[in-house]
Amino acid sequence: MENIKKLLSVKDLKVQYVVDNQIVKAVNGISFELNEGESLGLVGETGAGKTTTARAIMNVIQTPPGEIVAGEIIYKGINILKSTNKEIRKIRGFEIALISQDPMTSLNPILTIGNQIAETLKVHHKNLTKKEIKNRAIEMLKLVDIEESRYKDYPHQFSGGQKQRAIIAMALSCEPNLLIADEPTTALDVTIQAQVIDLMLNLKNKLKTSLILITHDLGVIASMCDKVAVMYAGEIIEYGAIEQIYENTSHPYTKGLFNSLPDIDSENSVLRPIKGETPDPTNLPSGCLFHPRCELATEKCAQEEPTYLGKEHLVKCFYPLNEVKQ
Amino acid sequence: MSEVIKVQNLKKYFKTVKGFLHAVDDVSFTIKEGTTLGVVGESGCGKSTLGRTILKLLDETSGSVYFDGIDLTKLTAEELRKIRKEMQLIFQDPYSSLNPRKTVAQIISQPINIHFPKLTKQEKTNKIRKVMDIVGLSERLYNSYPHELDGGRRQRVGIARALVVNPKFIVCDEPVSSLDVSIQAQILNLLNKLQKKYQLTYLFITHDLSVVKYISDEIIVMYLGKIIEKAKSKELFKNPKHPYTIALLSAILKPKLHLNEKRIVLKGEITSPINPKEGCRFAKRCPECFEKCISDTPKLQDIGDSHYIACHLYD
Repeated sequence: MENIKKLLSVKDLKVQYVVDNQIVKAVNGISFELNEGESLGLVGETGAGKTTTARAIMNVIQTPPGEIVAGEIIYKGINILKSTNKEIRKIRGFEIALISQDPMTSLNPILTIGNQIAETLKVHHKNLTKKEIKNRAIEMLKLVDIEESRYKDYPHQFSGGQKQRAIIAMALSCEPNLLIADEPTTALDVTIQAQVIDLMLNLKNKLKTSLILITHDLGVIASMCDKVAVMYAGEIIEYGAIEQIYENTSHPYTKGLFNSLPDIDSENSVLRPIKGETPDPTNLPSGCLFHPRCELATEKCAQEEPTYLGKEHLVKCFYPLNEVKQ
Repeated sequence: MSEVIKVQNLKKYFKTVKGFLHAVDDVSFTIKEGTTLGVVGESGCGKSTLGRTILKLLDETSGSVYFDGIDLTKLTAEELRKIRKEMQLIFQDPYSSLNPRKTVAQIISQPINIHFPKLTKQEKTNKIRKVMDIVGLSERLYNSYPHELDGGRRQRVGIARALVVNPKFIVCDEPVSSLDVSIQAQILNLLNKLQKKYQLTYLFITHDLSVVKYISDEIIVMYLGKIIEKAKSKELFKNPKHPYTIALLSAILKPKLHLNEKRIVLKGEITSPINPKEGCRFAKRCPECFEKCISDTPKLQDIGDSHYIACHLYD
């Protein structure tokens, strides 16, 4: 077996925003690790802290209103949160690239697609000539199935799927070791989503890129990831290998997510939604953050904060649904 | 069961600089009372335009829409306004479809003011409180503003607004696509409950196939303004016939392991709906395309068991 190398480790990360003198607790002490070549899915609903986590890893959280209160993010032995701007610039884009959610708004409308890809290369490869940069940009476009003739086209001339592919080309142009994709397929139609996912899987195998995939879609995770972290109100409430999460689902919230999805294979599926809504991040509940919505909650859940049970498969719950190996 | 909606050869073209955009092109179907017709398709296939044209929010280019036997396309503006009470719309985005400067009660009261102007203040308040209770909005939200509510509650306000005038027919235009899964399930269950209770008839527009299967009795699949397949919900998922439907179903990512490997990935994207040529509109992306598909437009035909399909493979 190959030697498995640790690429990224996030330890006890806490991020908050101060808005109108209120403290919004976006990420409340999360930890996870990613090895080289692995892909991790971060799943959760709106406001779970997924995107904030991604932005913290890139060290692009704006201060104020944001603030990283505690924790460390170690990438290849370097603490990203303690690095100088100069050091971080060598990592950002070169080593870690981010694909943001909305393909429609993350491109510059007044620059051609080709120029936008070339721009990234220009910043990171100062020794390349103009010609080399252009050739490399065209190569990247071809990699994502966009013809060379579109190099001089503007974003508005591209369809949604093509724009998203162009953004992927841009993110991969400096051959990053780690790609963070924030809801890369959410804004796309199903058939286009299938194209983009196939493309990302191919590229991941070809370029051996590690991946953090952020999504609310359990179907996308099932087809792309090795490990899953389920987030709720800024915490990871269940974490483990994908088989553990999907086939040995242990946290009531994770189970609730699965039960909320219509089952396309069954004749008469019944939806069993989770009651209530996600908590207000300025006023989080006491004890287990999920207890107001949990059907299994007891007095204890309202008062004490649960610790993680398990070793490889972690569950933050007093009453896990399945046996978790200690 | 009587037919609440009957659509015949409905066409809606938009004039553009480059020519006519065929948003809805010769579409016919009926919806029986108390049932749901699901409309699926990708962005730009004309599903929202279809919903709006049926409600006469857009004027049709040709064809007719019957509501309870009355041809809506022949009514005067005054007659139409009276009948609008029976036909309501629930919007996709609960963030932009509610007026941010009005309270929940004011938003819900607007259709009452239009359709029941003679009610007393007390009667109005009672009606609003009752409908809020039906859709599961707690009374304390009566004077709240939309920005104080989360997505699920906002969508409930949208549903209450549609429901308050006791309509017979509701067009639901992607009512759950902007909601989180746990909230999405709550709203779908609510819509189902309301349908049973009040014998409502729905036209349910969505791009999400697992949602459409859950909620619909019958489904039409649209591609570039045309119906390409129509069948009972179970039949369509068990026995899809059109190559596009088959590809669409295979592209669904299931939340289960080892099931997503055999996907049919379609090449290319939806072509332009402006001045479409003769021939099947899906031909360019179709893995089964042959000569006839380029030259002749396939017609929607019955292949038995109320399953209809527009494809030359089944001629």
